[in-house]
Amino acid sequence: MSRDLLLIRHGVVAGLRNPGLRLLGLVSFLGVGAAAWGHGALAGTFSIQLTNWLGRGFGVAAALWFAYSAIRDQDERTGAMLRSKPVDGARWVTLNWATGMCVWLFLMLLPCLGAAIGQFPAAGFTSVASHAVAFGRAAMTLLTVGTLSFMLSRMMRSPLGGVLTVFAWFCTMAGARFVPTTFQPDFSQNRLVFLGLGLFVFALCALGVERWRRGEMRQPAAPIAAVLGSLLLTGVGLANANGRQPNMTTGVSNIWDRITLQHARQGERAPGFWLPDGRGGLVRTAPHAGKILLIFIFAADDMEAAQTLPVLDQIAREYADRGVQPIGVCLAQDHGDGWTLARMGGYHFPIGMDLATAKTSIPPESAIATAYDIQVLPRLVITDRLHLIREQLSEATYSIEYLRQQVGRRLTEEPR
Amino acid sequence: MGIEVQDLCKVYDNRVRALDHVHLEAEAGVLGLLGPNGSGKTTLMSITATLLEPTTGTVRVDGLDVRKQKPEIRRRIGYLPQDVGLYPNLTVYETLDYMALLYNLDDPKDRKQRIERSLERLNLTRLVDRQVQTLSGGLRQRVALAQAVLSQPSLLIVDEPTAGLDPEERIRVRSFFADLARECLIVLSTHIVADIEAVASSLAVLRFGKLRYFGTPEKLLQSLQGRVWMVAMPPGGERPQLGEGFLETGLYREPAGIQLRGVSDSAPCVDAQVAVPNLEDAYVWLMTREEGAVVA
Repeated sequence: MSRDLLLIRHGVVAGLRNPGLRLLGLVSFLGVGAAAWGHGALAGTFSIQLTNWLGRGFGVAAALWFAYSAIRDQDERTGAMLRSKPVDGARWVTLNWATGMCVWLFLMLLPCLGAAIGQFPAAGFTSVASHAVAFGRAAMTLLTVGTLSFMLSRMMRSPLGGVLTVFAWFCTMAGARFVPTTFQPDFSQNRLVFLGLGLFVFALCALGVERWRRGEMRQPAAPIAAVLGSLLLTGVGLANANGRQPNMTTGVSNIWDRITLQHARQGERAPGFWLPDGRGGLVRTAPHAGKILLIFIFAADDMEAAQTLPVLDQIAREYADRGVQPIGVCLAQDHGDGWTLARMGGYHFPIGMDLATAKTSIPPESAIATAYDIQVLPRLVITDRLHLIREQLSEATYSIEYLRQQVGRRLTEEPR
Repeated sequence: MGIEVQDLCKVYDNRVRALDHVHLEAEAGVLGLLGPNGSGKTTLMSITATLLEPTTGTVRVDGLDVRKQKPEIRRRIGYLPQDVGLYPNLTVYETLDYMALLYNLDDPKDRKQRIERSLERLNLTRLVDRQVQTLSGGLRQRVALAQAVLSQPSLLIVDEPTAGLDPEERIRVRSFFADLARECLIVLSTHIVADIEAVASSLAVLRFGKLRYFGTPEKLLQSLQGRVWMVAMPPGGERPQLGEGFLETGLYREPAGIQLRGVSDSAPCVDAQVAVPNLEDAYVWLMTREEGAVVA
């Protein structure tokens, strides 16, 4: 094993012997496992919730832990022994950072494992895949905030760097309506922004500040190039994240504005939409001409609403040859939520993502929410075969019997 | 091997002058740094260990400049600060392995041999599987010492290594230095005079950042020869009338009664008896002499 891997292994062993971290790992494994067991087959939606819990919970905890660990060797007295060692500053920073990351990623793996085991009896391998995705997405958040916290604290020689990181994150969460979504570190669509930002502080701290402080800065060109390169990547990420905001260009100019301008009225045509399905395709109403539509509009992380999805899946299978088509419309600020649901939910009817979602709490703000005049989620809209709105339902959940009744009534009126 | 300090000054951001035109050099053995708290000992050692930048002056370790050749110097030194920052959850062996890896000891066989040798020298072999957090202060200090000598440094810098240790542990640590001094130069900082007396081959005394003495302990003691006196205290406990210029260095309880010890150019009273000077006398004497009265 290489020297660096051995050093990381020793550091990880030391970290994982900490009783507090062990307790955290055990409690999260059992707690999340039990919660997952209770949510049965809804692996996709539970995975979205798990991503949020883990990303935010472990993200904040790790950020604060990194703030402490970053300055462990900065103390004039206790850290002097480590700083006197003949190890390159950039390497030392990387080793410490990697050690912390390994500890926290391992800890975060435990609840994901618990969730995968907890839902396996009901959801099978979908559970494993969904929670692997949840781990991956939450890990990206942890990497981002952990890196920012570690590097800022290191450069400031104070845990204040970590505290500032967490504070800024809380501000973006609390001020979600006012702060551009581009600044949310846990949103999948912002990965490139925060990857660039993370690399920027990493390069600045490890290659620049640390080497300069340790008197090892002999060829400044490489650190400068790395810092500028990561800044450029951040800029590209920002442009990309902003470009992904409401303006979806699919041959129709400003599709989101056109969706928003429609209105859902009883007896009139259901507002049309053109939404990405997370698999490279689009979800539209137009290809389902002549079919009765059940348009289910819901928030991606709403566990209660998610109980309707398997019911709609069953309706889709039962009534496919009689011209009944459920369509899901998923409202999620985090584009990764919709992606997870589309790919990992295991549903067989189209689910589109409203990428123009600003919020899903009451009243929801999104292109679809505006077009359908929705005050509370979820909403089930039932149309006739001409796609004229016949029913607009706002129950939290729907049983299969109830939906069979609704569909049966429509089929009685319009058998073909 | 050796260090060379020339005209070294260190002024901190808060304008505290920690070192003031210090000159000294040493090549082998143990260089004892003696001085009260705040005299600049730790600052001098931090500069030598490349952890602090001097304000003016130069420090060379094995001919390498601490300003310009920090990485090279770090490869040659072992440093043991006053407060030891070890991973509490690692075992003794893991701790030494970690430190050996930081010293770039890549070859597993060589690393193992060096660790085992360090463990043996410091009598830690039976504790290899104990976590550092379960060790007493003295044992932790020994682990810290073991890591400092892993790389077989040409210069070992140790700051207050015996502070807080019990007498047995102090003797063990001092013996270790005496043994190690045959292999490398040791710069040993302390305010415990007995430690210096036991092992130092040369001595630097600092006060308020200024060098008050630099030379061998023997030379310092020689300069006090015939000037250290013992005066018996009367049974009532009242102090006898002593001549002006008598500098008291201690009170000693002896079978014949309490003896007052001190330094004076001439006998402080008629029944005063000349005593053999020790480093404590010399230290107190140096500390009370006026500025600029450096002996060396």
